[in-house]
Amino acid sequence: MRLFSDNKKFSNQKAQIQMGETIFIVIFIILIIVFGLVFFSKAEGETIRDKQKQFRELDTITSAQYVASLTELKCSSYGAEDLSCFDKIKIKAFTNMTQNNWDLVGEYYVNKLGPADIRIEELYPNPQNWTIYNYTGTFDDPVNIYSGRQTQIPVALLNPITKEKAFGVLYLTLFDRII
Amino acid sequence: MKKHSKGYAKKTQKNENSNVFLSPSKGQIAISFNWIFVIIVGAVFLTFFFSIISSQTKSSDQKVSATIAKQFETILGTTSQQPGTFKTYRTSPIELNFFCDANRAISYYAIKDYPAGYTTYDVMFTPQKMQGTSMFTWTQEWNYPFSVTNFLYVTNKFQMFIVYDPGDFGSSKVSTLLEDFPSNLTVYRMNETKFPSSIVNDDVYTYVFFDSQLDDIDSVFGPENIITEKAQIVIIEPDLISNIFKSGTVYFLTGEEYDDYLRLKNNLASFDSSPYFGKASLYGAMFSGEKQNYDCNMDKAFKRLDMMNTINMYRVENAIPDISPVTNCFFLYNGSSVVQDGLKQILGNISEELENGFLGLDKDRFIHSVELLEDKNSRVSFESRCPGLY
Repeated sequence: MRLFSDNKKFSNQKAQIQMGETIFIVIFIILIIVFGLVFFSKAEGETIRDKQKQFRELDTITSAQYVASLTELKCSSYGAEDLSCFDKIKIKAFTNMTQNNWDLVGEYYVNKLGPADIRIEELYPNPQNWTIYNYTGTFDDPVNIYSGRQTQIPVALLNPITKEKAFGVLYLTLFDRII
Repeated sequence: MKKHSKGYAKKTQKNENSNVFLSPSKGQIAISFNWIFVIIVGAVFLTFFFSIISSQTKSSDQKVSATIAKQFETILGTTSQQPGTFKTYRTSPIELNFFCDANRAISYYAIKDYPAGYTTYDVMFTPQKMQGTSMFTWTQEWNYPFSVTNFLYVTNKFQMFIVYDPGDFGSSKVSTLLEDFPSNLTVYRMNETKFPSSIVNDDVYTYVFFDSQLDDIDSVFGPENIITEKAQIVIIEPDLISNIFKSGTVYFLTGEEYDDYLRLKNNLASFDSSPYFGKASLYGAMFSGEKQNYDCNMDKAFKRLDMMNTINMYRVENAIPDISPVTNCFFLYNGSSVVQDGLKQILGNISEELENGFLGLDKDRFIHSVELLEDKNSRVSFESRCPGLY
């Protein structure tokens, strides 16, 4: 009787130990899977950040090319455009238009450029500057700016009335939204 | 040694016997429960892994689509800034669908059926659907009369343009029409001795005829319609024979409508038509092949024209103070009782005419205003120290 109860106790203990082993194995496997998932998601996150950076660079190139070839600012003569020159009167006209007629043109340029700041600065001979476009969101669509990518493009500036030429730089700053 | 009673021995034996019966069944139950436990846990793990695989597959497809969409957006954005360029792009097998509706102001392209990018302000003349591993893009600047925007034409090797070239006096119009056409595009010149065979697969066949050629085509090919139902027909009716690009009307017919035209001798005016203004616009009609796409993109172009016209008005306003008021230049800009309308007034007239957009345009009045502007700008350009408007 005593031997039987000892055997029973022993086999109960053995069963408990085996159950414990099984449970530990299951927990261990779950932990490995969780670590694997965490590692994988971090790696995916890095890949997505790289892609995001790549897309931002593509955006910058597209926007810079677009701004540098804006017909609204280019010098022209007898219908032919001068690719390397901006017309000062057109710059003033464009600035007035974006400031006074935003309803007509705002949606178009926001679609093309998004949140951005475009400034032309004449460096020589008469330093002056014009902010031809500045959009950082509206009350209904606020843009929380956390970084801006700036591109600088040297430009020749021409006064078409006096035919005087000047040297300037176009600053294009694209803003990123906080998601 | 303690002696047990017989009853005790029997009882013990009975207990041992019943233990013999109980232990195996207890073990069986334990084993069964073990297996049930294993099956349940296994099923949970398998479900978990399959769900991860499925979500990763979807995520991977989305990443690929997003990358393709971004690349396509960049191609369109940069290519459209370089007028006069023709480019060939090799892609993975892709299906692009283009959608443009001027009335609802919706314009986008989709990769398979998933909208990939909006082209609300991009003037793109394309077939409705494009499949394949390559893509052609061609950009032309639209000037009317000043530089307005660049038109982007997107197509592939499966779009064929078929023109009627009889090889005689009528040939000059066809040659003029195609003089700027890139050589990579598939153009077939048909005449009385050669004409294309029937449509293969889903190739897009666009027949381009001049209105003056229709009787010749009818007499050469007889009443039998050589054009199948799937084809698109664009019929050009220029306002001036000496300058087919300046302005005119394009008629859009399907193969079935052309069959009706041949059989019933309907008036061409009963078919869908739209005006065209300039070479880029005429090419746009050819690449679209159908009225909705053409009208939608021309509406976008005219909205852009309205914007450029406003900019020019601001330019004139900004230039006037810097121009000496006693010069001819000033009167050409500002107008006077002698010069009559100056640039300022003409641009204002054009602005009024553009209020209804392309779909509500008075073609003749608009063309007249544009001609006045061209004339005025030429006169301005001849004056000294007088900047031309464009």
